[in-house]
Amino acid sequence: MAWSALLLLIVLVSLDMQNIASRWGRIIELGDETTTDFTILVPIFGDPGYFRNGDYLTQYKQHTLLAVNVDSPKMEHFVADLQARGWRVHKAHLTGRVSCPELVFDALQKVTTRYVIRMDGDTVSREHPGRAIAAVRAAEADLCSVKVAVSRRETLIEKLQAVEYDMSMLGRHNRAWMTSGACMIARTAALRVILSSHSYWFPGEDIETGVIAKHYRLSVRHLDMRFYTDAPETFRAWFRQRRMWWSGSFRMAFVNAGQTLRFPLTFVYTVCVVWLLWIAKWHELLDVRHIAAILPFVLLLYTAICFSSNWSVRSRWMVVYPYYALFQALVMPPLGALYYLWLWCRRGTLRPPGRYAIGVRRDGVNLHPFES
Amino acid sequence: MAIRAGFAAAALLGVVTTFGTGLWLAAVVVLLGLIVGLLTAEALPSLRRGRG
Repeated sequence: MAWSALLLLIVLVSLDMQNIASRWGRIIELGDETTTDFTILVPIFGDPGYFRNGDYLTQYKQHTLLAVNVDSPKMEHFVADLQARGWRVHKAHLTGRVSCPELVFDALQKVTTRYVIRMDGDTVSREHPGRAIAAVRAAEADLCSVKVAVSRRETLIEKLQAVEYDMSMLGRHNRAWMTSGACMIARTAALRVILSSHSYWFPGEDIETGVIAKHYRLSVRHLDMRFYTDAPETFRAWFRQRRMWWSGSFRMAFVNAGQTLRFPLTFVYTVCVVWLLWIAKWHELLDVRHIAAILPFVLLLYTAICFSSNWSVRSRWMVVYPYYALFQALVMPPLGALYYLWLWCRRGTLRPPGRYAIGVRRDGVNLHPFES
Repeated sequence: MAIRAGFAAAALLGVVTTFGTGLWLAAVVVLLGLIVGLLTAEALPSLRRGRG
């Protein structure tokens, strides 16, 4: 019994120390070369307030296309204002629950460059995006995840998210396909193919992009360039965002388990360690004497793991990160699952929503017909 | 004081720790030390500004 417990501990600790392997990941380094063959595509829907990186994008105005869904007089007015200020705008008229991939796919028809940067309305970079594209082009990659970092680190929740983002971006060195909605880079033809097979289901849509790319055997890589994005600045906003993210995780782990199995380590970690062991975690917590005895050791071990596995992005806030991670792992999974079920009920279909539109077996694709 | 209170609570619950009480106490002290260290490091710049 003691040996099996020890073995389980070793397995769990090893899974939590995966980021040590990030130094051996095959990433694309940023070079000095630059290019202008790109379009920055920014999807905006629901409210004009989501367009917050206008100052940053002004310097790349001729390379920017704002994809705006016009479904209200307010958005119509917003588009008119943008156009008056010289922005290139794609007006979409999507109905129902609009999602980023659907809006991006609609706007891709206006993109004539060979590469596209899908970027949220609150994301910026310090380096010239042309350098990113030159590096991606040299590596002949079809889809790239990038390093997404938290731009503002003032409140406690922002600081904890900053640690969390920095650590998870190291994980992208070996799991480049885990693309982030805040920013990703793609060959335009590749993104057309990917998004034409997308379910357009919002929670988890960004990672679905990477999964589809892998399905079509496209070259999916990680570009070592930082893009900075806004993270929720209050606990309430964080909670709302995470409820949706965890619903995306539930969708990936269970609704699309067939496809997630293609990534065995991710499957084991997400389905077994995060979701199935959730019950075991609570079971442990209910025994107060037991938890009082082991919790200090667990927290100490996890603090050491945080620092040692993520030394290149170390932060003094890693000292409190284990408490944040523990809270999230205990509280958010069931709320995410309930949120998914609620969205399912609202949709009123028998078939679970968010099923990937691709099959389980991988399929190669020829991008040539999709090149403009 | 907090450590003593925490340990007393654990003792009251009849905790016989897996790793021994000495190690348990050491773990709690280290965790608290780390948090105090963090708070100090965060507070120092504003304290310096206040003096300046």
